[in-house]
Amino acid sequence: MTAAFSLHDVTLGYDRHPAVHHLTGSFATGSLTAVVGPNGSGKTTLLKGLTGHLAPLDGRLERNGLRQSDIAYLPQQAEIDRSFPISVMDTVLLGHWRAIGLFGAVTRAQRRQAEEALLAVGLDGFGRRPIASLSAGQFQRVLFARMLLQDCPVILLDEPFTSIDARTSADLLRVVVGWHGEGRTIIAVLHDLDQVRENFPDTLVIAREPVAWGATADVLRAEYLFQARQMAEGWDDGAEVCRRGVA
Amino acid sequence: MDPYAALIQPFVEFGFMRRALVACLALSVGSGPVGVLLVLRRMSLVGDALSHAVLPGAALGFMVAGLSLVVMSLGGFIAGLVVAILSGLVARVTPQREDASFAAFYLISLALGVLIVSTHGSNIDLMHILFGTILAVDDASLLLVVSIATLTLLALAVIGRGLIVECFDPGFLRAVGGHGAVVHFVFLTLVVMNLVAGFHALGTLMAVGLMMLPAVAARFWAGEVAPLVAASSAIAFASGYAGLLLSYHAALPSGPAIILVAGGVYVVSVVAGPRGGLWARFMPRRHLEA
Amino acid sequence: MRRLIGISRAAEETRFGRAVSPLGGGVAAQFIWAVPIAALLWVAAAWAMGWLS
Repeated sequence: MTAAFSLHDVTLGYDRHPAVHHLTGSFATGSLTAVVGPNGSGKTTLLKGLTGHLAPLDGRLERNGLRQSDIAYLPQQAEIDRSFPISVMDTVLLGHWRAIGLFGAVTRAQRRQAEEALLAVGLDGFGRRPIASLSAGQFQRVLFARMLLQDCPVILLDEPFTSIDARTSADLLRVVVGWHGEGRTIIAVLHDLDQVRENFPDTLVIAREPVAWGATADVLRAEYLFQARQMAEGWDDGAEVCRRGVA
Repeated sequence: MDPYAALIQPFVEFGFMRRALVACLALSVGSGPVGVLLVLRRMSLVGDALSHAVLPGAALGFMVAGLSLVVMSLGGFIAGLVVAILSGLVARVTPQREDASFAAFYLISLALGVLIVSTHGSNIDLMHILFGTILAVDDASLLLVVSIATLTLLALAVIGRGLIVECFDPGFLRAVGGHGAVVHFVFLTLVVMNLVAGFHALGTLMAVGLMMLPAVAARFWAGEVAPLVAASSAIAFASGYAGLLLSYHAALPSGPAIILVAGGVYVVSVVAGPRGGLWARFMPRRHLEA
Repeated sequence: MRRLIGISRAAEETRFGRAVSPLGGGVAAQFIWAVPIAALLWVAAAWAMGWLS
């Protein structure tokens, strides 16, 4: 089986302080993996490393033949200015970026695709609404519609269902499962363990270093989760230089 | 006085009034969209900082070549650009945020400018650089201001999408490899260019007035980007027209007159603007059916 | 007022309306508004400098 991402003893972090260290393994092409762990355990940092926006401090991270534009990344909601005066349709149309870039015009067919994407996420007829008028759940649906258009083989989701109503998260989970059915590689940071057990074949438990990685049923066990909680300690200014893997 | 004599005749009769009016039109057309984008990008004070940064360049230009339009403009443009680049660099390679680095560099630049003017120029030159003289806009200045407005319009047409996305969802632009840094830099260049245009008419102190006041006033009237730009440009031009008439009939200095009219429009907008204005807030209309 | 809003809605549905939407149209479409405004500006400048009389 080919891998979308292979990690060899990868350490990711900021300012020499590792947020995740000594991570080895791979995300298989077409896999659907949940990343779980306590707050501050480096889940977001891992996703940023996978997108390529954060270079590893150490180790090797291979993106086997994937280009930047092959990876769709859904950040946590706080990073987007939701008061900005832009319509739902324009936001969704950005998903065509690979085709239109900075300068190209949107064709009639692309506009129709955008309307279909809105229909698929349950926002039919919302195209003209400004995004400022949407609820958090509706806005998350808009971002999913945009990802539908992006049509990327790899999709990274950072807490896609946090602080979103149950119906929306159920609807959007169906979209994610649909992407899995189409053979896309999906990595999602999640909190709801029942949701992970029911829908995600693979799971990575991290707490600033890998705790367990593999089939969800083997990995989501009480001892690993307890261990993860123990390991997620804070930032230590006086931390020693890490010697693991050197000697 | 009949309306024709009050409102139109000065522009028909006097060349300097005509040129001043068209200079205002050009400033409105160029600075309108630039100001709106500054507000949307939460960079309102960056415009202010850059307008002060222009001073030492203009002063140096004056020192070298006297009251030469080209040299002073070029000097101001370069000084503004240097401050923009240095501030951007510091923000990118250190943890300091861009507003802080802008504040630091514009203060350095402003102090340099005042130093140069006070040691090498007379008070009148200082007044000219600080306050501008829109009624003394000659053909060459007018051509410069109109050229800058034209360039601004065309540049915005080209990078408009990048600008909007970079301010609404910078993470997305980064993820799709959309050259956010290039777009940002082109935009800062446009800001400096328009401030240089404004400084000929209104002086370095008030050049930013016709950029920011109409833009912040427009937010009370329009919601989407295109109507915001249209409203901002319209307010800017109306302020220019009314300010020129005010200065003509009441023998007031033209720069402050124009900016004060724009300020008046802003106050009226805060009170009466349909989008979040005080009137709309305290006298709510009945809600719609759907 | 309501009629006015209706008209602007209709305009937005047309080709021109889509073109001037900041994200729908491409660069060519943006020039639909930028070039005429710039041209008008130059006409005004020519008038101010007395080139027209």
